[in-house]
Amino acid sequence: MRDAIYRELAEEFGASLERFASGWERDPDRRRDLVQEIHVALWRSLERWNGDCSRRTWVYRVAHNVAVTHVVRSRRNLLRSAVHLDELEVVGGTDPAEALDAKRARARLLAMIQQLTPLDREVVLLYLEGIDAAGIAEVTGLSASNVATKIFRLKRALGGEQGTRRHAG
Amino acid sequence: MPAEQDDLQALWQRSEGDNMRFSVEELERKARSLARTVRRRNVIEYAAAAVAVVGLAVRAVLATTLSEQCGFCLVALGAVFVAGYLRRRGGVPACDPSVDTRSLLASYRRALERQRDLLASVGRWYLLPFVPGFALILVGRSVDHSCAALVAAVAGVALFVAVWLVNRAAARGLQREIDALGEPR
Repeated sequence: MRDAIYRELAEEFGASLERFASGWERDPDRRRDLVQEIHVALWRSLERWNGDCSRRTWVYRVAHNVAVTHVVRSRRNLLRSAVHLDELEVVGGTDPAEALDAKRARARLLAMIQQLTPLDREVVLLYLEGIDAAGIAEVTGLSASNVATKIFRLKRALGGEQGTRRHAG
Repeated sequence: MPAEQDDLQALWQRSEGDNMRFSVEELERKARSLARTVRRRNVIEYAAAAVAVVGLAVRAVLATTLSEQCGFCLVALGAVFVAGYLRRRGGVPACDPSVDTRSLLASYRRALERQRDLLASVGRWYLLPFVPGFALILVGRSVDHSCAALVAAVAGVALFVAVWLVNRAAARGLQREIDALGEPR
């Protein structure tokens, strides 16, 4: 039974979990290890799943908890992620030619995500997956209004499709 | 929802991954391998502590003066105390996927703060337990080899100071990691 549920979830959320991993780990080899670790945790966690929350919430909680653990244990990654969403600011206008270049735009977005603190990073990744504020609140433990504020900050920071760190004095 | 948000989400969700898939057998193997690694690490930690204590006990038996014998016994006791203290206070919480991320981050923060305090107070719980034993050993040796005992005393003090300084620096490093976790806003 557990194996069958796992296969269904892996099929449904597999691509999403890989995108998540890219938000947490830059190194390709470590990223593959992280994806595998998430799948192991997901498969094992299904023993404890009692239906209190939706399958989607469960999968994202497992994925993000494994990813956060990965970042905290890999101190190299943790020390690079120290920027809150409200410390991001929009940089100038966008170059239309660049805006058309989806690959570069995604690389910029990814670079911005990877410098965020773990909690803000999680909110952004869930938002990008299309999860609404209530769903994000359920996964993260933040209040829905706090999530809405963070999403507002994200939209503001990404107004020019690019955010950089503002050095707070 | 404004258009640019949809664009962002579309941009993000369009990205291609490696389409990684794992069989249940692979996951079982990986889970067993992780459990083995944890078991092996625990065994190595206990074995290292046991070897140190046995080594010190042997030195106590071979020592020529009562002072040295007592000193080595006290150092062995100090090692047991330090190992137990680390075991009780130095742990990091295991990943629990059933809790929300905010709670998990809070438990990590508490664990890192505990470790920082542990490093910052290393003089009290790591160095101090060894002082009586080392002092007795030095007293025992100074009877016949006063010059060698003086060199050993100076080296011992230098080692203690170095350990204290290194751990203070590590505590400052941990504080940077705690800051990087970020306070929930």
